[in-house]
This record gives sequence, C-alpha cells and structure tokens, in this order.
Amino acid sequence: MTLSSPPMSRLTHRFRSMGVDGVIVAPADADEAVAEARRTLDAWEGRFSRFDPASELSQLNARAGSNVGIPISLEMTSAIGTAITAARATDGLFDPLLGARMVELGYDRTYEDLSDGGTVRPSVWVTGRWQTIDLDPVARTVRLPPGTELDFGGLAKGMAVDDALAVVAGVAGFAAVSLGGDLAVHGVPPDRTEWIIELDGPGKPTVGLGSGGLATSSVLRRRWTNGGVPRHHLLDPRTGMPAETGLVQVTVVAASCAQAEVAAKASLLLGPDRGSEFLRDRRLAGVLIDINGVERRVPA
Amino acid sequence: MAGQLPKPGGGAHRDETRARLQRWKSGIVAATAALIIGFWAFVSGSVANAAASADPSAAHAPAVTTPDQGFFDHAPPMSDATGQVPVLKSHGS
Repeated sequence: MTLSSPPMSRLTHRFRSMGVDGVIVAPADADEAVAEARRTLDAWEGRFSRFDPASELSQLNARAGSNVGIPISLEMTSAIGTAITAARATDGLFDPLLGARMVELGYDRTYEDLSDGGTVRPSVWVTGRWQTIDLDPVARTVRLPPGTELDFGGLAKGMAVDDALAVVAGVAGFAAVSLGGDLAVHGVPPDRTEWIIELDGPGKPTVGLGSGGLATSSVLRRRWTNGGVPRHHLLDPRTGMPAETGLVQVTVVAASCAQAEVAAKASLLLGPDRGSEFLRDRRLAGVLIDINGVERRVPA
Repeated sequence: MAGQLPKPGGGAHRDETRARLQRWKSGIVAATAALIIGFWAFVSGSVANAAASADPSAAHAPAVTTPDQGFFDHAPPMSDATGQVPVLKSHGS
C-alpha cells in the first residue's frame, strides 16, 4: 500500500435490529446497499418476531394444533425447512419448537422488558416434537403440533445476517454484517488481511476469519429470574430447562452465520468434551469457554 | 414311430419352453426376495417408529459420531489473531 493509493475507507453503521445491536461495515461508497441491507433486516424482524402479535410468526404460532395446513410465505417456508434440517443435523440439539417453553419459563416479552414472571414449576417436557412439524414446501403450508410455538432463536438472526450480507456483497468488495455479535463477512478491508473479532472472556480473546460466518452462544447474557429462580435463554431441548453443561460460551466459525449459530448452540449444549468433538467431527473451528473461564480452541 | 417325421421345430420349441420356464423361475425367486426384503424393512421401520413414539427421548439421543453433512458446509479456517486490533465484537446473545 502506498500513499498514492490510499485504502478505500470503510464506514461502520450502527443501529438496533431484532432486539440487539447491529453493525454493518462496508466501503464508504456502499451507502445505498447498506440501506437496502438494513431494510432486509427490518423485513426479517417484522416477519419473525415472536413479540410482535402482527408478525407472521406470531400469527402462525397462534394457529398451532390446526388440523389443516396453514398457508405461509416463501421466507417462512425456507426458515422452517432450514430449522428442520438443522434439528436433524444436530439430533435435536437445535429445536425450533422451544417458543412455548420459553414463555412458560418467563421469557414472554422482549428481553429489555422482562420481569420476574412465568411458571416456577413448568409442565412435563416432551422432547423431539419438532419431528412432527408437517411442512409442505410445495404447497407452502405447515401444521404445528398443538401447544407448541416456533422460535427460531439465533437461526432466524443468522439467516437475516446472511441475507443482509448478500445484499451488500453484491456491490461492495468487502463487508461485514453483525447482529448482536453474530456476523458474516465478505472480502477483507484493504487495510486488513482478515476480519479480527473480539470475544467475551478472560483476556478478551480474538479470532480472525477471511470469509463465512461467526456466532457466539452464551449463557452469560439474557438472564432473568422466574419466581426467584435464575433462568437464561439457552434451553436444553433434552430437558426443557436452561442448560447447565460446564460451558458458558461457545463461538463457532462456519460457512455462514446461520450454520455458525446452530453449531455454537449444539456445542454449548454438549459440554466441553462432546462439544469439542461435535465441532471436530464437522470440521468447524470454535472457541469454547468453560465455567472456570478456561478457553479451549478447536481448529477447523 | 418309424418313418414319422419329427414335427418341424419340435426340439427348438422344447428348448425355448425350457428357457422361458427358467426365466419365470428366476423372476419368481427375485420377486419373492424383494417381497421379503420389503416386508422386513416395513416391519423394522414400524418397530423403530413405535419405539420412538413410546419413548421420544430414545429417538432424540444426541449422536455426535454421525455428523450430518446436509446442513454444515465446508467451513473457512479461524486464525488466532492474538494482539491484533478487532474490527467487531462477538459477545453472544
């Protein structure tokens, strides 16, 4: 790099979306694409929020248990299909039907508005009900089992990030889109050799990536009390209760943000040893931090 | 039968009939085998479904030794990046 060819300046755009802080990093001349990417994120939020009664997700959840297939949008069809594939790929460690359970445990409104509520003694939990989601991708209809609610959790956020990045990547040589620290990158800024990401944890560990997505699953945030009982948002689908596995945080690098989201959650739920094995088996790189703050890195 | 001419094509006809019978036999054996295999697969599937219905957790037990490549694509590498100035943060949500 010489002074006569200064690096294309990059701009960082900050905003709120899907209940978290959003960041888009892109070349200074990509404003229009960035605006379109933000509209893409807004559209995802409008369709997939479980806290907005008017969202397609809320409307669909209200009709769980219907005997007939409920017509859904192409985007919802895609998200449910992806969620079922993710559930199969993780043997149900990713479960898109935890919405009603989350409400039962007190996470019934946006995190900012949470108070001590919900059922202190939750009902008997039945595992694996995602296997009975009846999706017809051709007719674009779905039937959800009674008493359940779809909650895509991080998966919808990851898919939104991947979608928004694709918008900017179409016109810019480099870009990064992040929602709450779950992100996807395209190209590399001229003044960098890779994207450097700082993680939570002792010593603020860093990782670098040149492409793909990165997501962190953590039980250190989004905590609340439920009848005085501490809760967090990462439910273990095997028990229906907040996960206690010996890990507090897992960060995964994958081909996309959506894939990283699913892998990070599954790895955290499996604990230090089996979580590492899960990533190694799938040739995914990750950083696992246990309850003592000890960091373990798994190379791809 | 002296002086009686053999029917035209009689030997060839018997050979052809024998070959046809042999083909039928082979077909019947193959069809029977397919039926047995199909029935076995049906029964196995029914038993597995019944077991899963009776005990959902049995069908749900995580099996990390059989990775499903249908969802996770080939992942890019992750570097250590120690000491470098971060562009973004990932703290989990």
